[in-house]
Amino acid sequence: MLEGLVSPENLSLSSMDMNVLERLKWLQQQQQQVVSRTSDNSPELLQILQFHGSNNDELLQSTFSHFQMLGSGFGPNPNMGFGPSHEAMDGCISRTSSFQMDPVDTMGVMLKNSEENRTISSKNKRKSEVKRREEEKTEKTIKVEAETESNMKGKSSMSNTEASSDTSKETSKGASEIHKLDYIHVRSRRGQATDRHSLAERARREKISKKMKYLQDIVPGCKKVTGQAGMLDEIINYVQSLQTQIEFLSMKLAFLNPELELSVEDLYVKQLQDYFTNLPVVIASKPSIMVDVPLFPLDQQGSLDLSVINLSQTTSTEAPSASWETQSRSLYNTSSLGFHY
Amino acid sequence: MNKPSSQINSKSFEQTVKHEVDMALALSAQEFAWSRFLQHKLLSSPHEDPSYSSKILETSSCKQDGKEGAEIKKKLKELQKLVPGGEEMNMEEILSEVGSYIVCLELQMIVLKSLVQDNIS
Repeated sequence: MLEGLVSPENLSLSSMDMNVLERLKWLQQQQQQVVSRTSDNSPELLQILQFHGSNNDELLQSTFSHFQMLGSGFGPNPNMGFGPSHEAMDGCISRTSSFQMDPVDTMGVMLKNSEENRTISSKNKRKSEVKRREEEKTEKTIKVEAETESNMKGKSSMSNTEASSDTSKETSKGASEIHKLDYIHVRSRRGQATDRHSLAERARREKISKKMKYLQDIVPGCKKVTGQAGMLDEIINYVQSLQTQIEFLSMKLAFLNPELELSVEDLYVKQLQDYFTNLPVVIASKPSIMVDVPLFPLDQQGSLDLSVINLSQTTSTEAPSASWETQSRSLYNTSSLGFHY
Repeated sequence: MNKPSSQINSKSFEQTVKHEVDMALALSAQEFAWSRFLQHKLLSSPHEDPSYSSKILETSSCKQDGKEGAEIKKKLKELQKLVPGGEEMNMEEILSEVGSYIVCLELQMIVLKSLVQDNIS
């Protein structure tokens, strides 16, 4: 039950990839609505996306598998299998961009070159030039976004960003390009250094800030706090409070149950003996309960021994047995732990 | 906590329950690093306390000056202690793991609450 409960959560938090994937799937089905819902940043993106190219660059195979759903006119890329739906792409790009990063960053991310299209577009895109670009970029965006998303989980290595030959031009105009596989796509703004280290540093910081944003949504009360330190404070306090609450609840659970259960203390021995005189009746009437007995290290009294308690367990329970999954599942599946009359 | 060899007391029962609860938590989200770590820890030393600690965090009521980097690092260290397996993670990993950990903790709380409710009623 617990696994089942968690799976939807996992969908949402296992990776941002999944969020994007789900959204992209949805987008593919509802292209028109997506277009209408695109964010304000979409006008420029739309123009870019008009010119889907047949760029067959493959930046990230693994993350591309996620995006095979995308039907966005990227041409015959065997690995990606994109279909021809520009609007979906528009929506998805804008939605993903609005979700993931600032519009400016998205623009920068979109300004990626493919090796094939160097003739068409220089490697150094500027925001103003984006509209004039054709084809290539759009494909890169998805790849890049996929990449950045996967990077958020720390999957891909933190590789250097490379400035192209027109670095000076780029810097002045504010766009940086990466055109190799597994590279972090970072946008550098005007006046910022574009050497390897600072780009890498900036990319790292962006990843971290993305994650902090995600945590902000999760942890209640985090949005009012500004600054990383404050947010970390909140997060720490929240995790601690959750843990103590769980500890308390589990102790409460343990406390509640022994009164009905077979806790082998001196104080309870008499109770126990009384209990065990009735036990055969219990066993006969409610055999299913035996299976649900939680892991319970009772090996003191002979009558408590495996035949009674550990019907469902194979080992004597000093240490948890190997069948954890079944046990924990049974623990959580039963509404009544132990013997209720 | 010392478990008497010849006698099981309620304390160790609590430990057992806690252990089981933690194991359920770890099993519920196996794709995360913290979950794997927690599982290993629980399986190897069944009756030790997992990485929980009830001590209250001393928040940064201390200096709030420009040394934000150091402060953040300090907080990250605290976070590392909280999340199982956190010591081996760097900053980015911790941030990604802590999100999933929080959600799973919340889920576990819901389950425990309902269990307690069932037991009470």
